[in-house]
Amino acid sequence: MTGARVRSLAVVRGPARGLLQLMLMALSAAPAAGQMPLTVEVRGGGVYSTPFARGIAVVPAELEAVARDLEVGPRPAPVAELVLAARPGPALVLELRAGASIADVTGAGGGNSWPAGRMTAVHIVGGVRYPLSPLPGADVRVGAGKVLYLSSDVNLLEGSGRTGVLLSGGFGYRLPGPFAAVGVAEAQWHEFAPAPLAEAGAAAGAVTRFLAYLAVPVWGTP
Amino acid sequence: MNLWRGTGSTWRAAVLGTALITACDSATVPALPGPYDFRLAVYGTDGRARQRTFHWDRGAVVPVFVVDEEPGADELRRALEGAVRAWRSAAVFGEVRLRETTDLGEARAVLRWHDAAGVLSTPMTCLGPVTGAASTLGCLNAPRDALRTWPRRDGEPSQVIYRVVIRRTDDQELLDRLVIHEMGHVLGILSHSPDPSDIMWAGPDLPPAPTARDRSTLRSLYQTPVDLPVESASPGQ
Repeated sequence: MTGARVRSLAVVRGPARGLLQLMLMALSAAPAAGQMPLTVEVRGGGVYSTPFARGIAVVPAELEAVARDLEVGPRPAPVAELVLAARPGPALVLELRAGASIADVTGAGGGNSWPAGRMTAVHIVGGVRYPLSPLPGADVRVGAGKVLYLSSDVNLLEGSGRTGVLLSGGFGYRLPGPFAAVGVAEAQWHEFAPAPLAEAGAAAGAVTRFLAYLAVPVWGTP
Repeated sequence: MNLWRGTGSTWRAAVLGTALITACDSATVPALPGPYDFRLAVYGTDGRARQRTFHWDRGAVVPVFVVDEEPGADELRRALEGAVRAWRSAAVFGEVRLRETTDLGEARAVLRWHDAAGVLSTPMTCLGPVTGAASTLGCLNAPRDALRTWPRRDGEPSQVIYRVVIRRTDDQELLDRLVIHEMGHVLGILSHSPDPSDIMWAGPDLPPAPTARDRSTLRSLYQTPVDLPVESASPGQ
């Protein structure tokens, strides 16, 4: 690792620093780009997200005298990704991936739920995956990137603040079969602070998404 | 296992990152100031008043038609755009929102200057006097071309239509605030806040946007059962 890289790491703290260290290690050991085997993968699966926001509605005492928990968030939805992976060494894979999911958003509270619109979540992540040596065919993968929410009819996703820094971590396992498919379980965490939440007086929040998908190489050397 | 050796700090950072991922969660909207009473006093045939609640179906989008009569149609339309934004931000759980429509047939609220003739000059017994700077009148149409005073005392099921009438003003800022206030009524806040700092206060000097108490009231309203006799609380989306 070069001195410049070490100095640049000094300004990064927390888990992001660990991720950056992994990536820099990978780059330090990487052969020239032309010598790295490249693979293109497609991934398809599902995503479950924690709610965007939680709150309370206090129904006046003369009516029902109850406080009801409310929440709004996306329903489980399909997710698809396109991945460009490079293998700089026998043990390490670098990947750049972009994905999207389209989900219905619902509000819920007091035993009821209601449609709150539809949104598209787009993410782009750079990451690494490394074999779990005791488990043949298994790997651990971490990454960092950005997420962007798009919607024309979800109140919470109006205005600014629909992007956030995203951190991801997960595991992959090579499945038996003819397609070199890999099953992946992943968690993604990202900031969430859209303008309507700020206007409602809420502190900036975070959302965790859990993804499970199959990755299938469609080009190059797996 | 050599998993934790050699690059131990890196692995620990990665695992810590994964742990952080699963530990954090959504934003919490803070407890708001207590809501004010949003119900309407409805007088029955026995002359007694009962407090009644009406709101649109949760998740509804309520179409609002602006009477396109000059002068001042653009100003009204601009004020409505502001009201749509203001209440959209207030309804963070997606309970309801407004949108402008150019189709009078689908409109569930009509916004107009008080002296406009326009397309709604058909007999409407719900017109009534315009009190103050602006008024919102609830009407029923059953059949659709014969609007009646709302709420009806006979309890017949009907569609709901609001008619919002604004007195002429050249003050765009005042107009913006008046329309936000009246659209609060259209969303179902059928009474007024006792606090002069709220947008649903009945007096002058309205604030520029719904306050925390206004938002709390809207949130509570949409968690309260409807007990007005109407055919449907769906705006027809």
